[in-house]
Amino acid sequence: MKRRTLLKGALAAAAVSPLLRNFSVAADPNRPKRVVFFFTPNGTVKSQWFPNLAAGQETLTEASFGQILQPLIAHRDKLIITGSTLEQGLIWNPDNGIDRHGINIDTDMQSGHTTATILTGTFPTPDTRGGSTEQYINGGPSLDQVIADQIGTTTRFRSLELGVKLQDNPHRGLNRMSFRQANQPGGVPPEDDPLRAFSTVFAGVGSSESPEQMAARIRRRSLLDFGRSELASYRNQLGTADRSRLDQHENAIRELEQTLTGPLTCSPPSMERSDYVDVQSILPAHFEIIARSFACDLTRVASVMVGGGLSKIRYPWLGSTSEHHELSHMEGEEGSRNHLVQINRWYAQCFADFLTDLSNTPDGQGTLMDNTLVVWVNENSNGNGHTRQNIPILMAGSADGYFRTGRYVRLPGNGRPHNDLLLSIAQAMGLSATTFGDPAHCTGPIAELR
Amino acid sequence: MFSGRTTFIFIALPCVLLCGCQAYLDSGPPGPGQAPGGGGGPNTSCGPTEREPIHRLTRSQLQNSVSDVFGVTSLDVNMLPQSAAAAGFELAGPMSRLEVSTWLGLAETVGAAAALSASYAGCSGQACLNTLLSEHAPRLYRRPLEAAETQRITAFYEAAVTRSPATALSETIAALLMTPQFLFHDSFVASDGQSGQIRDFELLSRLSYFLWNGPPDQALLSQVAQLSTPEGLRAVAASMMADPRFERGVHEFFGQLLHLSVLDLIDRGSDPAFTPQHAQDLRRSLEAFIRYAVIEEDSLDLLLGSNRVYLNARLGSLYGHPEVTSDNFVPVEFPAAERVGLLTQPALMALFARRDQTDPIHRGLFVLRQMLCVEFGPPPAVVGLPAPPTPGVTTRERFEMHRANPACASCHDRIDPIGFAFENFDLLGRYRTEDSGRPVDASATVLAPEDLIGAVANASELATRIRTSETASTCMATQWLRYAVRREPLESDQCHADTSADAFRASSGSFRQLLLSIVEGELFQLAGASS
Repeated sequence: MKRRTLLKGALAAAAVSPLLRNFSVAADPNRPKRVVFFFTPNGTVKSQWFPNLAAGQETLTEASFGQILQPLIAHRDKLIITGSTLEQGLIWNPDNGIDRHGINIDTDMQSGHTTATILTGTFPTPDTRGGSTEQYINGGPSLDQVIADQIGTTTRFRSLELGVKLQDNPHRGLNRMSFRQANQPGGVPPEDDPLRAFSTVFAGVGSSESPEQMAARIRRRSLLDFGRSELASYRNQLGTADRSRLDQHENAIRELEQTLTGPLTCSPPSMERSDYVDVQSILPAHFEIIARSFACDLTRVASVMVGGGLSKIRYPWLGSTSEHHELSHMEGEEGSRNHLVQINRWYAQCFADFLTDLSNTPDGQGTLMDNTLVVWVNENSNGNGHTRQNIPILMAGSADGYFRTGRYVRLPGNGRPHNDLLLSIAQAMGLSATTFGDPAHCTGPIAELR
Repeated sequence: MFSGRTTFIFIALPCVLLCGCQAYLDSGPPGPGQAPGGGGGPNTSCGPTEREPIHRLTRSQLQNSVSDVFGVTSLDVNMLPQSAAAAGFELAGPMSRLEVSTWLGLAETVGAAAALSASYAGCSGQACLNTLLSEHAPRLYRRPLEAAETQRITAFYEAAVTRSPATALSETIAALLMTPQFLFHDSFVASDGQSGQIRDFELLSRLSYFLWNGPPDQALLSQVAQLSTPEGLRAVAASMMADPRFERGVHEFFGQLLHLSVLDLIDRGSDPAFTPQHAQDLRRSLEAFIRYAVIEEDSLDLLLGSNRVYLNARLGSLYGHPEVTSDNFVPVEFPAAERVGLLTQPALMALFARRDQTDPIHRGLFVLRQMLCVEFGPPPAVVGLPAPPTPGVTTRERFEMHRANPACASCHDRIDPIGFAFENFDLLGRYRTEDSGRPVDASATVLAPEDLIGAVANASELATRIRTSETASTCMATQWLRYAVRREPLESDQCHADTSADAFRASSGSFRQLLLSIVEGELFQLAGASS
């Protein structure tokens, strides 16, 4: 099957070498569900993001698309755009107030950036021991990791976390959206170099392994084995709290060893090496890696995080020299607002190309798109105000018919808490969960999505 | 191929909408029966306490461990993701799969480089293994090896030899770098399995990473028996602080406290005079100042009060001293009415600024949080930012809107004035008397902390008052204690910090005496809870 080149849309500026060419995959009768979470920072320009439809109308028409989501017009029948889902509930509860140490327990981080809340649906663990406002401790695991716990145990990679120009903000709660469990400040760190991600994910994929590759694989396994056996004897001397810390470390080693099994029978793609230093090339490359890893069933859960909360990435090829976060606070100024629209439109373009890729990749009797759910989240709705009500959420894919797509779903009344959305996604992925995140802020799955 | 990570510090601060400002001081009332530090052992009268569970060597500690033990300096630890933090200081935990994978690759590289180092020149077979077991493995593990450990390493080596004789040594070195004995420290293994006094080698390792940010050397390991008495502990710690590696430890602390890693990456692109070279020079200038005040003069008073700035030729022309022509940094005395101590160092003024303007809010927050230990709750809700830079309108005037709105004022009345006092320093930390064509108004009314309440005319006056304030010396002691202990603060911590703060002041602001007080204290010597 011939691969199409990346970024054929209007905003494809510099030519970007495709990562992969001439990929072929045998038809696979097994059609597992897959999920992708895509995070973009600093809110959006709502007037150009949310569809322009009359009240009571929900079918997405070509004319209803604002400038930002226009690249997705061709895929509109696969989309659900949520409107007022995040109006209330978890994100901000006016009754919670501020505890005596000045930590507002509604907050996901200073100033309302929700990076660490958007997939966990939990408040930070209340720090009853006194107040550092710098250190954020997440209150629970993130949805992608919970799903991976369920559906990631048979694939070589339990999950795949990728990032674009990841940041090292000293306010660490801004830097991660994936967490394996509560109270995990470092979270699950994404890989932000596409070439490294590619060589990790596709290592040994092929019908044969060169002697050098096999020797390297065996060597790495032996190093990991040694680390693990030392862990086993070391931990026996420790107290319980220390042991559970080391158990996390051991799990990481074991997961890595799991990836060092011998070659798979999946036909390997051939790789075109290129330099991935600019945002413009990194994001599409990551989406390609995810699509190919799904096609090869190397994983079924993936995420891409652009920057992190309060991201300051620059997008010079879109015509602005300013950085994103600063722009997000200048939305009132027309030039800056246009730049924000262009940035978010570029995200939409990359997203659209990813959907096209999934739609063109055979999977069983259909395509990868049929049973893949792609969820685009943002940390805020209005970036200038750091608002968290009505955060733009775009889902693509019906998860094999679970969701009823092609609509702008505005929920009646005051909308539904964000955790209800997370729960809906969990159930769409086949989990038997009846609540997600902080249960006090989860009322149940959103029937209107089906 | 690794794409560099950029570090950001600025957060737009909307105002508190509904509730009053919850600013509070870290220093609570002293605990009952609090005894002065030193003397006959750790102070146990501060109330119940605890330690965080075992944690991993941070990135810089991994780097220093590898370079100190093997002489390998090519390790790029920035390939590892950033660690978490506790109380503002870096705290690394168990690795994720990605980190293990990254570290595995790095360990292999270090193993290969170490196997080529002088220690192993000319050795073959068993002789190489013996060198590793006797010289390097104990330094990596920071204690003598147990017999079973030696056997396991030997078995690994022999298996590696059958696989690939040429690389067996480098593989074995890499394997040691994957062990918990190397990667983790501060494990709390007491002889009876209960929490209590930490074992001596663990205490030595903790001392070494605290004072040197690196592993103990052979000489230090051989002194471990001295740690069982208070006098011995003082003597060992004092000799460590006389070692050149102490400077590394000091720079690690201040680097984290002041977020200096951001300094290399700041963009003041609106001013063409400022290049990335200037940014790197600024960091070195600040480090030279810290070296002078803390290492050479061992004086908090000089750290907070000296009028000197270290300049080289490049910085000299930027900060009004073209007579400086050397590439090395030399001290230049500035007028006392302009610059007083750490807070007015150009590096910090430039750090807390934006691309095209100063940042009074973050200057105010820096002084309050990092230097005076005043905390603020995060502002939760919604309001916009001040207007962008405008000719004829000073920065102060644009930011005054915070105070105009009573809901914002409750916190910003404490934060902004302190920031405004530094308005004589522009976005590059240069002294100025005008801003946007209008005279700078650097007067301020300080509302917190208590011993600084009152009006000041400018930053020089403010810094002078901070210099002698009890809050500042207590906060410096508290920050060092947090850095030593590496966990979220407990209520009872302040009692320990106050003890060390008293010792700090009693010794006229000697950092060495402060750190001695900390290492003698209960928190530093505490083993963790076993449950």
